[in-house]
Amino acid sequence: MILHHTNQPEKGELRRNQEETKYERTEMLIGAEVTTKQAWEFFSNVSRKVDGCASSAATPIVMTVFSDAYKNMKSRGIKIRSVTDITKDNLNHCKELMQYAEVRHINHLIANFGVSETEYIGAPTMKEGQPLPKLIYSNSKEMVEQQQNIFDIFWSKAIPAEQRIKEIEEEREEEFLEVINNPEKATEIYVNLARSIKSSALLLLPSSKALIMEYELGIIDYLMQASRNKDARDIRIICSINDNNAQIVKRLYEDAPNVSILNTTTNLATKVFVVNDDTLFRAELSDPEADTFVKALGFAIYSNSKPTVGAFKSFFELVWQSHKINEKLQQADRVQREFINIAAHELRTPIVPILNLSELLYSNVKGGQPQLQQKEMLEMFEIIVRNANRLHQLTEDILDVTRIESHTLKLRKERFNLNSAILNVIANYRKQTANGNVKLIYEPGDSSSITLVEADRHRLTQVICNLLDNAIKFTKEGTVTVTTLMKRRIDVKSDRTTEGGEEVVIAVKDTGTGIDPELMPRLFTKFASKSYHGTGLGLFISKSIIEAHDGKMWAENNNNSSKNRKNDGATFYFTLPIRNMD
Amino acid sequence: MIDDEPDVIYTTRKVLEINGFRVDSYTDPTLALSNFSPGLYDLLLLDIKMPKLNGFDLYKKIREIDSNVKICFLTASELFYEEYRRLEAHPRLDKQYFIQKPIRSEELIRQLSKISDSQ
Repeated sequence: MILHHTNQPEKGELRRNQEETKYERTEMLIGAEVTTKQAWEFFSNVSRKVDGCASSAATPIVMTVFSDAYKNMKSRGIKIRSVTDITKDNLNHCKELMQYAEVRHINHLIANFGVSETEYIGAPTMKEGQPLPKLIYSNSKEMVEQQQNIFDIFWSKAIPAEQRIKEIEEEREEEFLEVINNPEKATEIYVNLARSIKSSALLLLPSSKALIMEYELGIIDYLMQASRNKDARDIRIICSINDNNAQIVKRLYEDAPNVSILNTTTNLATKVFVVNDDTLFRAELSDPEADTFVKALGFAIYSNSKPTVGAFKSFFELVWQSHKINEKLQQADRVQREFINIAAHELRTPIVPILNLSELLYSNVKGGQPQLQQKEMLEMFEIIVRNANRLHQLTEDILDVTRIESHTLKLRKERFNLNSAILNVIANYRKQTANGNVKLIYEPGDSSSITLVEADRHRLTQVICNLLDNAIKFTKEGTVTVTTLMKRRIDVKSDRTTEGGEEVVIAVKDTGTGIDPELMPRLFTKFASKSYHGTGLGLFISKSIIEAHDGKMWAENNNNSSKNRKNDGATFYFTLPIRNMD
Repeated sequence: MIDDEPDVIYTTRKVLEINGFRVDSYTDPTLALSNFSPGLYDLLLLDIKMPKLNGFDLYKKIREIDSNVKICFLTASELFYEEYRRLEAHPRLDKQYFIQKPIRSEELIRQLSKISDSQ
């Protein structure tokens, strides 16, 4: 099996010394003993650098048989470069090789050879678990140079071993896509998959009944357990919820708040389960009415193929998002119905006295029946006027809410003195409350009595009136104090004072009943009222008006620190930016 | 008549009295309940949206004491909404016992007479 004979007279002869190396020879050696010996010699002859190329199967053999040779070369300071096909199976051997050599990776590399500055060895038939049956040896200059060129091409095309190892370690598992026709086997895989949940689980169930079967199978318990894990970040179920499975849903809500459940109205004939973002179980239902999981199951797909898993994740997201939007719309619809119902009640109630008392007064004037006393008639007119005013107020409020919500609230800004505006309002209120038990006080915080603001005077008056109305309403006896205070403007987002900006803080403080803590979180929302006389729109409108002026509005009870809530009243604050004149 | 709006009470009371009804009225449903005893009235007019005790709960409590007194709801709320709540809470309550406010005086008297005359 001699490839090419040169001056070397005998095949397989390994007498070698310094003088003999000047003989050029290229030959095929056969038999483990001679091949191994030649390879050893090759390694020990290396003086400065050596390049090696090995298939995925060859690297473990090299590391098993020649690791001492590599160790030896490294200790001699020899530069070793190695290209191989790093796989999951030879990973450890490649890591060992990396201790001696700079290693790169090429997919499906099949060449096995070594080339130093002067010699070449090639192993054309290297097989896993076998020593070297054949070895090509050459010290021919042309042969060595040619192999060096081949190696350089490989080297330049190869990727660093570290990169390949990272890839392998990240997706240790080979891709698989199994179609399972055996329901028992599919069930077993399914349960194991549920057990393996770490970071995420997306479960789309075909019917309300499916949730019960999942529960009986223990899947729901695995989901709940997983959701308590600190790595769990996304555990979601899409399922139709009804009376039959409501208990399970309730348990999930209570015991596993991190599990999100979405109610779907459509029943599907398929089940999708994506675990840890990388594994998919998808089953068709052969019998959706079956009583057990195994009986219901049709053929199933089990896969970690990235495109397949990705596709079903997207499918799940799509269903999830569309239901979320649907839920939001339904919520908006509920809010709208609630609005209409409350508005209807508030609008109709004052019409009762207006309509029925007018009827009585009309028939009295027209036909003298019923006979009404002068005093009685006056009382009726008063009630009619009062209710007409109430209706008018409500009409304006509802129109304001409509303007706010349709973003058509227009401000007619002008520059005016806030202090005098407040004083005007207070003077009007003092007239109204002159014989009442509520005392109105105004304390401008600034020594100068002029605080110029640029605002809609009418709207601002509306806000102050609203706050005063509320304060007086909830203070049967006591004081209502209005104060103003100039402050540097704080940017809420950056918590820094905004440059050159000032704001005026207006506070309306009362000594009344205070704000019901239950009401506090939704104080400024529409129809947030515990009072049965009032629309609950005033604060919503006021806050919107202030925000339209770039200000803020908030409220607090006056005794926040004290534990037993005594009735120290409440304070409402709002701010308006002051823009300094240029 | 039980309604938390004093002006509504005043008005409806006038209309009823002029038409020959004798009326007791309450703006506080809990007070109305504590003063209630069976046989005292032929007909109760209840508002639905009231503080402390809503019309439906008041209805239930009165029915526990008196199963014969005729009870009629007068509400300014949307009927479809109250209907829904009624069906949820009291499936047997008849639709004719719901009157929408505001209502012309004549029509109110006509409907109440029909109810009080029925067996």
